[in-house]
Amino acid sequence: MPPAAIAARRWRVRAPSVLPGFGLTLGFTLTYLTLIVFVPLSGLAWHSATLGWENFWSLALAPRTVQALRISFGTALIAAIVNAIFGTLVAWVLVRYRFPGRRLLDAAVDLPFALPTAVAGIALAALYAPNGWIGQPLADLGLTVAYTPVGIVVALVFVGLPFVVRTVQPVLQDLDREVEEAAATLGASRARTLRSVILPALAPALLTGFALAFARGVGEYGSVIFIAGNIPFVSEIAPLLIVIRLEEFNTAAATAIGAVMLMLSFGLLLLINLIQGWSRRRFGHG
Amino acid sequence: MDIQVHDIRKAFDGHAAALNGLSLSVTSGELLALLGPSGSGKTTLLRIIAGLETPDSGRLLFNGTDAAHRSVQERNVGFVFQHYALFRHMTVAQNVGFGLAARPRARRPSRPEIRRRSEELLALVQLQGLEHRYPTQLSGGQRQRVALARALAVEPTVLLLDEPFGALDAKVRKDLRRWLRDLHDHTGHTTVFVTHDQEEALELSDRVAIINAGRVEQVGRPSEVYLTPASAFVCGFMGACNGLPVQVRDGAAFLNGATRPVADGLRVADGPTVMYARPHDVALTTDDTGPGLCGIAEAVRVAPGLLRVDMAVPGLDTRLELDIPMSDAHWTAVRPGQPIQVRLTHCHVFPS
Repeated sequence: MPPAAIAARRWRVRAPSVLPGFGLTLGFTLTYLTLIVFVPLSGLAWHSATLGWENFWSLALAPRTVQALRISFGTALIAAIVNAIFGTLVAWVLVRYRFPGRRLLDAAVDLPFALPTAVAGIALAALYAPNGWIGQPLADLGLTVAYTPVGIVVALVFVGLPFVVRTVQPVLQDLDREVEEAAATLGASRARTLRSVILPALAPALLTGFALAFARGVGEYGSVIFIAGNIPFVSEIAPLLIVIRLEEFNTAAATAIGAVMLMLSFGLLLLINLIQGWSRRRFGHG
Repeated sequence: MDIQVHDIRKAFDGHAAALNGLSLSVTSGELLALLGPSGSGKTTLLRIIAGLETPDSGRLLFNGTDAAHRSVQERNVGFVFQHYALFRHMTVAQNVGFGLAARPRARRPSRPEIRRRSEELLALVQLQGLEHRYPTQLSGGQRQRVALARALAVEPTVLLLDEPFGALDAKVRKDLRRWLRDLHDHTGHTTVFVTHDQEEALELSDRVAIINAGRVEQVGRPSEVYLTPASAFVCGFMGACNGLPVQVRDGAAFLNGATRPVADGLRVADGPTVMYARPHDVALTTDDTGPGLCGIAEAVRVAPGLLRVDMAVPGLDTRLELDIPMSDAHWTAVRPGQPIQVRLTHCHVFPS
């Protein structure tokens, strides 16, 4: 076989399939993603490219920008971890137990999706303010939530919860009960079964939920700005800084922050996707 | 280990009782089949023995001591699920070693010891060299054997198998059946397995318990339950069976309107009853003086070693099924549409 033929064989995009429509659907997917995702994002990349390399980095590495990015990614990460733990717990309760009001609770999980984020932000700020319902007792204990990074985490936990619950829930529902029973007959305690049988089965879905909650947290604006206090270097998030720069007609700085956020987010999401692919393969969905 | 099941009842919400006062005893070291149609409660019984279900009432004794309140973990049973229930994210070796690795620290063997035990068991189930595969990379028969090795790893007091070969194709099923019998003879575990396949039950087990509607219909050696069924249900379930509604007068049974008896010498009270005869207990005859039946051979089919004939008999609503062995010299003479004469070599009558 001539080398060209081998190369052609290796690079054939699609395996022969009985399911038609590959060309059509791939074409649609590419066009759609181009219009919806790539064009706006490449606009951002294009604009930041016009800044020039040095100019771009001096804007991106300005201390206030770096701090804002650190706060945004840090709080989003913590919130995503909190959601991964407690969201899984919520999903567990909703799937495994039957109790009055379960459906109501199930429906309530989606509320953070539906509520305008500003409304959520104002409500949280009022609750956690030093004179609020929750802020007051916490203040008596010497804890301040509002107007600190902790407040940001609270807001991000609120908006990110449905992502974890809604990704873990269906997997939990489909989880084979016999596998748990098998673990029990082999003498495994409940904790052991949870740790070595159930959690690994949930891991891919949990990672997806985590990634979604994290991504949402990084970009979140509306619910955060009311509770954060927005003190530069303390509780100012990157999306807010972009808006501030825009209001100053400093599009160059806004673009630079935006581009850095884009790169960081893309890198992290790619990493999560890779881990996920690996755990899925291990789990036999490969 | 001896298992005594005494008057166990179990009902699931909104359903008819799954177990209806079922009693059964399993002797140590035997291989017992729980045989019954689907929905008869046999799997529920197995799960109750394992501790995966709690009975509503009744007693469960392991070696004479009450086991009903022991948790699944404490019972130390090996359970093999119909769909294997392997841990998909673990390798074959990890699956087999799971039971040992999950023990509390004080009783947990060392890692090398666990590895040694899993290798030993994988050799026992003839899966050497597959230690590092994942369950999805195995065939159905291999998965089933991994599940078995996993259950054996905890040195169970009793091995419980729920339809162990149900999801396998016929050839693999046959091989595994023989293999399981050998394994049982080799290890000597008390083993209870559930099946709806009478051939499997007869071939594999020391004793068969036939379960119907949440009760035991009959327990006995395979030959016993096949040759001397205790009820019409057992007779019909253990293989093809012809039912003949007859009138009994002085020990002779007559079909509706017939003057020649179908059988005589029966020790049954006079009156209407149903006689049961298996297809191979109906034989061709040329003697028209003794008891027997005349009719027309309607459908004639060849099966390995025998001829399957559906025979239309006057006074009988259903066709009589008979198997004529090819060792019978007259089998070539049986053709569709021809009159034939048969007699029953063996039949069962059950008190109604």
